[in-house]
Amino acid sequence: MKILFLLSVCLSVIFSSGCNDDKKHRLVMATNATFPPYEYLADHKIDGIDPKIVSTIAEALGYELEIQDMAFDSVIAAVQSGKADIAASGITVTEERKKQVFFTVPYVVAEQVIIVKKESKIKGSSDLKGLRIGVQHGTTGDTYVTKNIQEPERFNNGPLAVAALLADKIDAVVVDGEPAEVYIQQRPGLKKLEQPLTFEEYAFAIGKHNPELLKKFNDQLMKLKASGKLDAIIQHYKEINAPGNSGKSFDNTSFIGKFQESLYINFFKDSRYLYLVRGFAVTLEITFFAVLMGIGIGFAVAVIRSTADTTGKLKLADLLCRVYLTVIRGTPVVVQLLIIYFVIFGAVDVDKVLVAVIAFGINSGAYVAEIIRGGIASIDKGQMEAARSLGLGYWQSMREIILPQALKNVLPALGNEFIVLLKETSVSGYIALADLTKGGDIIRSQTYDAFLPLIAVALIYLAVVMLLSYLLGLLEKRLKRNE
Amino acid sequence: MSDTVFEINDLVKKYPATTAIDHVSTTIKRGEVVFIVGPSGSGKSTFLRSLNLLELPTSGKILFKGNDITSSKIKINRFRQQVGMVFQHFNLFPHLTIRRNITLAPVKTGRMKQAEADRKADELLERIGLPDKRDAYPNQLSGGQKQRVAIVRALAMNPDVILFDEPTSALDPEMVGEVLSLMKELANDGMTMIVVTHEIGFAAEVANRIIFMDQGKIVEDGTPEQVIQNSANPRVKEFFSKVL
Repeated sequence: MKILFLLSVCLSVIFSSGCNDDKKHRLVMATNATFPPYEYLADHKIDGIDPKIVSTIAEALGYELEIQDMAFDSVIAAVQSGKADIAASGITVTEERKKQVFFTVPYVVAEQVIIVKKESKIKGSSDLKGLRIGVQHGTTGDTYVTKNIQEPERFNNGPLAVAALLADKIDAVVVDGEPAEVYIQQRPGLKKLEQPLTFEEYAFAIGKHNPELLKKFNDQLMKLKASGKLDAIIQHYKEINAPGNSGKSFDNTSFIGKFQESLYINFFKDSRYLYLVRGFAVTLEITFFAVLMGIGIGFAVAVIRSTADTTGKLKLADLLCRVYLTVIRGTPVVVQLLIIYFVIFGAVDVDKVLVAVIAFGINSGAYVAEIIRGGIASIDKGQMEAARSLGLGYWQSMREIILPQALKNVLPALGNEFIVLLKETSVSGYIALADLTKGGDIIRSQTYDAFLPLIAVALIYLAVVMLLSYLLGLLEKRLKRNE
Repeated sequence: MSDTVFEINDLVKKYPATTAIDHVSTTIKRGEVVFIVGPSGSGKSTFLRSLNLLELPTSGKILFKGNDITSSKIKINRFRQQVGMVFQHFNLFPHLTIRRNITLAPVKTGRMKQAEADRKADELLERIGLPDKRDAYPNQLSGGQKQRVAIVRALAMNPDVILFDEPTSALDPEMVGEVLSLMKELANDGMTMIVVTHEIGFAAEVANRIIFMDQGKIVEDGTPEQVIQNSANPRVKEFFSKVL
């Protein structure tokens, strides 16, 4: 009996500590996976020097690693607020950042370099003043150029800045040295200037509330350095990211050969077309549910407004509807989306697709409401009088007589609104939702090719819109048969 | 049951700029066929429309079968189910078939089941000679056919009284006859009818009472013979001398 008791105590201790371990032993890493070879998406997984180092150390410390991909300017904030334990995103050590977070010992000494087109006359940093300089928003290059040269043009990621350089939208790009090697090797038209703009050190950032983690992490990092493993990791990722062949050989001299290679790199290598397929599914999902919500809101608001206009009732509801219409139609949908995501749902973890559905549904509802209200107003008032004179109630008359006719009249305008809505969802990327447009962006950020991904995205939208227009035409014809 | 359908006491309808009905009192008895005539703007249409509260009176009382329908306690939909109305522009429901136009109200107000209402609609369409139009839509009908359907749509509710608001004014002349003969048929069957019209000849033939309105007031009220031929009122005399 005694032994059994002891055993059960032991078991419960083991289980409960097991539970605690489970919670404690998760390490959340914040990164921005558009920075090869430090971090990037490969086969839809985040890989690179930083994830490899952190996962090696996490394993040694007994942590389970979870990697969160976010905008670069959010990674420091994420460890500050405790949403992540460690930020590993090729972060340069600066005095400003040191005030906000702890830095580990540096694992790389890197330089900020200047990339220009081969035929460019820019020789060094002294030539940059007055030209258009591209940087990645929130990076050291951004800070340095802003402080020491002038206001730069800030892009969301490095590849976008490079694409802009190639398209002659800017004259030079200031980026970190490592990814710069990758960019210039993949794009033969570019070169890196010999003289770097500035030197810097990369380190991992850890929240100031967590000095034990800093110490443990530094110990492991020193061990990695001493054993030569650190250099091996860095060398490995530089090599696999070095531009070699695309895995297949194409006839590079003919136009068709180049096109085939481009097609292969943009869509088939690493199954990149999946970004478009999945993005398209997300776009359709958002649009479909936002349309349903828009119709619901639109009908309710239109009926309330029309009732208030013709009978003088529902004054308060009418006022609320007017405020809703004014606010929604008076502000851009992107701003509404951002407010709903960051302000209204700021404190809760909520599915981004749901946020987008709500934002676009509320937005569309305002336009649908005014379209339907116009439809109701276009119905001869004798229709309502006839229905009422037969003893039908107001709402019954609305439902049976007025709305069916109004809807038929406004069907073309409604169809148009839904087409607009489908295209408007392309701003979902603002809240890091991987919709169709964002899918094209991701491919672009990996292949540095703006043409094919953008054309593919445009063609998919166009095809859907044409199909929708055709179906609406059929529906209209069917409804016209009654006349 | 009382023999009085409507009892109107001191009815007034004012608009911001004008007084459309100016202290009107009268009584409509069961089975009466009352025609309201008078010059344009005399308030006759407004008077007719206030009888089923499409216009709300400013003051005065309207009793329907003894109940005050201007009281806020009245169930307005139940009251209207007992009063049919035929409009100048027919106001058929263009998105519904002819049969659905007729059966919608009886079914939706819970008076009949759909099958029963369908049977009744078929009967009524047979009676007006349009049985083959039951699945057609209103816009496929001529004006005269539309108005006859509108009349049987009102009839389908088995109303105590039917109000006609210039039922032939929007019709081509060759279509007027078919509508008038249906109305005459109803009058002969004993339906209580209140008709606003410009068809004075028809009024003289069918009405058993004519009310002459001018400037919102009833200025003459009697049999067709009394009002049309023997009125002492100069306004009435002048009107009939022009229209006859």
